[in-house]
Amino acid sequence: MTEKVQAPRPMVDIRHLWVKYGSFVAVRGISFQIPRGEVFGFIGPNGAGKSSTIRILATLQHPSGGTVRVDGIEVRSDPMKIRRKIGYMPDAFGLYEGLTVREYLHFFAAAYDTLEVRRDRLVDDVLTLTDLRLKIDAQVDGLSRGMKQRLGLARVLLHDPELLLLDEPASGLDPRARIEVREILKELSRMGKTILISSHILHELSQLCTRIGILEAGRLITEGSLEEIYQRLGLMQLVHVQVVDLSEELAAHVRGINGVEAVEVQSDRLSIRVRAESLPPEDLLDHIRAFGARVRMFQPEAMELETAFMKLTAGTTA
Amino acid sequence: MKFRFKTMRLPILTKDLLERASRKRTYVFRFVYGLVLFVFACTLFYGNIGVSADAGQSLGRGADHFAWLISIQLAVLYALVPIITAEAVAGEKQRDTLALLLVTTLTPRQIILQKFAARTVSILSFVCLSFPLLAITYTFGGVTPGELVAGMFGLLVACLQLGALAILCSTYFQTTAQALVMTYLVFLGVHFAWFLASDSTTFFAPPSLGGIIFDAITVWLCLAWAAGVLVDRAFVQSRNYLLEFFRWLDQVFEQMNVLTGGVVLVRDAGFLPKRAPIRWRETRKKSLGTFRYLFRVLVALEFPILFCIQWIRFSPRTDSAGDEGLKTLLDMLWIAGAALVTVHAASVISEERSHQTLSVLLTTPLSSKRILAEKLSGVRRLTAVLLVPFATIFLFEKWWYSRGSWDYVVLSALTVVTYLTVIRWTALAIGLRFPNQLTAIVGSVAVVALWAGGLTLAVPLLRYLNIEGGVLASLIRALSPVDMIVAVQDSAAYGLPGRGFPSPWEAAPGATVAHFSFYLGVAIVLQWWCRRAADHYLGRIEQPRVPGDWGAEEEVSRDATACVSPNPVTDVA
Repeated sequence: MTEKVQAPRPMVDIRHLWVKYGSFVAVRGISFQIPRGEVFGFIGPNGAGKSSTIRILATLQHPSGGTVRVDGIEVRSDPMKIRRKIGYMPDAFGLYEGLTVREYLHFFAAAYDTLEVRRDRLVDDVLTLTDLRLKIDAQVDGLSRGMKQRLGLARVLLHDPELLLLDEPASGLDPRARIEVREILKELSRMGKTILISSHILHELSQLCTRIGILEAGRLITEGSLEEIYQRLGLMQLVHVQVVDLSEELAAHVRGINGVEAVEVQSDRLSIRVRAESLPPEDLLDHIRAFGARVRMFQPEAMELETAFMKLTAGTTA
Repeated sequence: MKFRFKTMRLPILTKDLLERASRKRTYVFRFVYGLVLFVFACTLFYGNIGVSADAGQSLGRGADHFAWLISIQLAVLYALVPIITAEAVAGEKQRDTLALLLVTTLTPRQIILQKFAARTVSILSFVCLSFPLLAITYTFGGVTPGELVAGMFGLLVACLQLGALAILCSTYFQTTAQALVMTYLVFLGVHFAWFLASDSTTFFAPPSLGGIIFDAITVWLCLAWAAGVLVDRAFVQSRNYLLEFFRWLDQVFEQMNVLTGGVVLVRDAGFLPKRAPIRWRETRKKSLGTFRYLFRVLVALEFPILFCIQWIRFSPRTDSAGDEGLKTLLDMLWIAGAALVTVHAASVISEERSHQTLSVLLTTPLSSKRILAEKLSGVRRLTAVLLVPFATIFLFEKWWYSRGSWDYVVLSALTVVTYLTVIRWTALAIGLRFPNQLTAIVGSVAVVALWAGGLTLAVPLLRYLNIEGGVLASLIRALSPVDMIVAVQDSAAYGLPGRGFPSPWEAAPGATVAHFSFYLGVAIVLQWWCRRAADHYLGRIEQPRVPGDWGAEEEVSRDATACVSPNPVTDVA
């Protein structure tokens, strides 16, 4: 007797999704899946159809065609059930003026029908996670932009959703606030949440996302892990290496390693371009150490996502 | 011409005019305005000719028509000019585009003048529509050339003055809604003061040099003031002035309360939401929902009523002057109550949209019906508060006129409950459909005004036109809410010698029952429609009656095959 092994159900399953606004077609039959626990980065220029797709997943909009499932449930078949599974953060803050942080979070805790006896604890937990505990009695409209964004994140976590839909969570934030939000998202990823995040900031996404989807003019141009995308495009990965005694011999040795395309000797470091599919960064590090170099810094750069984006997109809109 | 246009450097004026010219609603508004004006004028002229057996009798009646046309135009312009103009600068602030204008080489004075000019040109096109009609009234006789010029000049001045005031308010306040409300309030306040200060009714007198200079100064003053504060007010945070006023009152009362040992009659404790979060916010965090603030609204409404009642109590019971005083009070209460309920109900959803908080709320598992019901809790509370001054007047009249039966009180209470319920659901339905708070408010006020005013004026108009209304006139009269309110009010003193009329219940019980049944039916239908269409108009996917049953398996397969992407996910080599 053979047991049929079923693949785990993806958290998001979009097939042939079309979104039309009158005669304008915003999304043209895109299909992709997001497995549980993945952080999926949605990249695309303005008007590419990212927000429309996210709004459909958030049950705010009817798809014009195709199917959209969240945890196996079609968005049109039981949107109320989906609402309990998702946490949606739009690009606008959507914060109520005249409420304190505590009141704001209690408001949404009540909206999600969480048990009254648990609410204080819950609010405390999400504020701890987003590092806003000290602001619990501050007025929402008096918070800085970064804090408002973190409060938005705290709100979506109140009912412990399985899927987070974050539309441009880092837009308009200063570097510190952006890093803070990124760290929170990493923490949420470690907690096993599935996250769909749209952003223009490619560097951020490449550090955070396990999978990427690039959307342009309503079409999904490519989708997969960063490595898969690099391999498809034959892109180079840039690695910065600082060693104690930087020498030309070391550079020559590195040039000879299989998979290294180019080595640039800079004043304090080597900038090494490698083919990601044939030489993983950890192997490169082993090679350098084997040469006897004392490595002070080893930093594989994720900036190549920008190259991938530029190579894949033509700058058109739907 | 091109050269001149370039050297004039009027980018804002050009942009605003082009923008308005490209909007369909500009032409729709102008057409509707022209249509209403011309239909009204033709009705006047037709009535005139219809009444007169020969043309000679119609001579000299132009003065009446002239006065009517000017009055109607003034009324419409007073309503329209703030709506068109209040958005001029406040809209730029709300769209975050004012800063872009301020960093150009344009001076504040140029910005204000161009904004003013753009709106004024638009409004003057409305005014010009009436000039041929005014000329026709001149042919009927009774109007002197001086009065004709004065009338036209009066219309132009009214537009310019109100437009300049609206530009000042638009510059000073952060949102279009605030600017609009303040324009109306200041305008009404100034006119009321002017009315008290002068006994002149010579609006149509030929303009004097002093008058022209005074008018020009007021317009200049408003525009200069606006230009002066434009930069200072450009980046000021939006404020809730009503809430701030109440909070200031809180402080004053708390300071005064030291003398009384800290007695607190109504305490809004800082409770957190339990099971109905939206209701909690509407009734505890809104200026027109919080109990103690509503209590102040109640005091503000109740105080003049109690004062008037005391005044009437000391006058002889046989004196009918008290009747008029109570009627005036009741009319004012009706206008204030209907306006408050309309504005509040129209705002409950559109305000969430304006503040971009609706989509977040819609992704919670709260059903749309529940969202609507909780959203209306503040309006219901306001309605309940409004019932108190109404009840004060009704019960006082019952006692004062020593009426044996309760039909007056019951019918009066029924009018308040029924009409305010209809207004509440009408405004909510309009607020659901309009994306913008200001449009929702203006639309709701217009619909309520048309409903009340249209049914009231329809029968006199038919009579004026010598049209035998017959069943239609009876039907209109039976449905008119204003006629019902007046009829009920007129029955208050019935029984005293020579005063009052029988109540509608005594005069026509069947029609009275039909009237209230009809409006209660309208309220039920509106409520049903709002609840049924709530998901759609709020902007979320409807929950099927039976989860999972959305009749879509066929649709999915059809969509999936029909909509196969012409450019599916491709691996880019």
